[in-house]
Amino acid sequence: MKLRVQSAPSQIKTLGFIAAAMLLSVSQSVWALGTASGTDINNLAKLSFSVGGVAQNEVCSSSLAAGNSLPNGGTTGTTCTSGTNGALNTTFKVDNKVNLAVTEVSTTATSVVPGQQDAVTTFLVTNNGNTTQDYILTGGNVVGAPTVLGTADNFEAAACSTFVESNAVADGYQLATDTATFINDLAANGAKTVYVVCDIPIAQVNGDHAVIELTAQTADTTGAPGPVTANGGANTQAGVEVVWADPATTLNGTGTDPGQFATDGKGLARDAYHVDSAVLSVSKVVTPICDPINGSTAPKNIPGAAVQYAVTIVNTGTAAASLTSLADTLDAALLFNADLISGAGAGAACVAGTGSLSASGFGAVSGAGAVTTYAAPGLAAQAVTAGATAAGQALTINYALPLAGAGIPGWTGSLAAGSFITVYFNAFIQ
Amino acid sequence: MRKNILNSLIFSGLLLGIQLPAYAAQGSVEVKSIAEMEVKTIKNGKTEIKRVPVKSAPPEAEIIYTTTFKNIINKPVGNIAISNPVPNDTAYKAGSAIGENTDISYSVDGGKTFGMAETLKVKGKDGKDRPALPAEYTTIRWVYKGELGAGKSGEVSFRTVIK
Repeated sequence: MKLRVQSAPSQIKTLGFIAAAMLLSVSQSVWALGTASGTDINNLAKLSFSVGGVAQNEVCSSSLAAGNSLPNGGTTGTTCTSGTNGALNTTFKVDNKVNLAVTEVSTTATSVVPGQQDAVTTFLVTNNGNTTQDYILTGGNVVGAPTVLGTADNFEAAACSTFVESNAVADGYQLATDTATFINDLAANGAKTVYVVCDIPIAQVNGDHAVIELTAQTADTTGAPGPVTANGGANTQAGVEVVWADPATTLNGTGTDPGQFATDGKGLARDAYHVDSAVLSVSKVVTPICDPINGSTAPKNIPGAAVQYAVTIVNTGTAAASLTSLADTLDAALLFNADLISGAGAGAACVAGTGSLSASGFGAVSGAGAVTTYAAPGLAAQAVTAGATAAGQALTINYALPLAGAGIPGWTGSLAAGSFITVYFNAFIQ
Repeated sequence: MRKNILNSLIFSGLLLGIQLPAYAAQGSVEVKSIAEMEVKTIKNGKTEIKRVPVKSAPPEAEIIYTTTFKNIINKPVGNIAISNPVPNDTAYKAGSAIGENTDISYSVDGGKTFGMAETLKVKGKDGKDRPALPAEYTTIRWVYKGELGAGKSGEVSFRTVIK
């Protein structure tokens, strides 16, 4: 027998992306992170007064050391205009307050299988500052054994790369289009999804866990991004200065935030790969169901007897497996029973065309549990299936849609962790 | 006669033309306004707070605006009132307006009307009046009590936080 199996845990991450998009739409409405850098903050004070009881024209302030005493053209209600009648704004510019956050998106480890290529972990980089910035990204496997998302790291993911989501709304990592390796021009209050993509070594086994980390460093927006530098010392320049305002954090409960330094212009978060693979075992059990002499009562394996083969696949792993097909070749001394007789009753009933359970010659049953041996179904109603075919001694069981369409209700071709499927058929001993 | 009047008008106009700048340069009260920040420095193990002029500042920084006014004529000046709008993109810091020998009032309508802090109202989301928050003040006014003598000066100030 040869069995072809394909594990497919990717649906888990898809749900993660949807959840992330929802979070984003909620969070952005509550972010209000300050006046844009470079904004001029101006101020003019106005003084009204009288001399000898006679109201004089108002005077607007100047920021110059000498002040201003020029009248502003009226005794009340005049508007102060910088540059007119000696008035001069007291002014300064709003600095660039650099603040960012990097967060892990899915809150669960990415489920992977051994040998998987381009396994994806997903992060969100948020500009919590007041200036459009670029971000330099460094993503990869964490060497060491930190515990992240419930399990300690015990292997190294390989060949990691970091890519930026190309769409406005994240739709999951797309190899062809998500190719940018740094975040370009992320506006204040904006957020961008970033993927760290790695390969899983084929030697890994169920339960293995690898921790991944993404660091985003705030960068300027001209040309290739270069890290921005905070302006230390006195506030002496009239232009926009850079102030690092990213907060310190401490290790969180899931380990996705390992704890971060304050005011370094960097943010980081961790995610993990967890090996969740299907573990399949295939068994084939034969049971005599009738013979021409004894009928179905204590049948013996004599020529003319019918035996029933039950081919059972059990998934004892932690991930569902998409079953494709199974091929079996009958021994030359056997003849396939094309109508799956029940064999119940006297010996005369032990012939093809009597008491058929399935017009295709195959039956199937599936359920929870890890039963590796199969009990003869007897006359109990069983799912019949057109998903299996016999051509001479060559039998083929198709576990995908034909089996689902004509056979077991709810069966989609995917064998869930901790469940089994049995396909059975009869053969006459020649 | 007519020509003489015309001549004197022209002459007066010329005089006026010369005198106006001279008069303007020597107003009665000199008004100056500065913006500062407080900077903490540690000197000999002690924290010192120093005020420095603001050239630029990030959001959430606290700015101190100080307006000084000086009587530069040889007569006392009365009915002095200083009004100062809370600058764009900043919010008034509650309780920060000070000024010796002044009565302080606030406006929530861009300086059209002023009142004591506890009397100010703004329309809430439900359309009903509610007490105004300090961050909603638009203008501050200081009314100097009495006269400011010749050569004397006064000072008022308030603080804002950059949004």
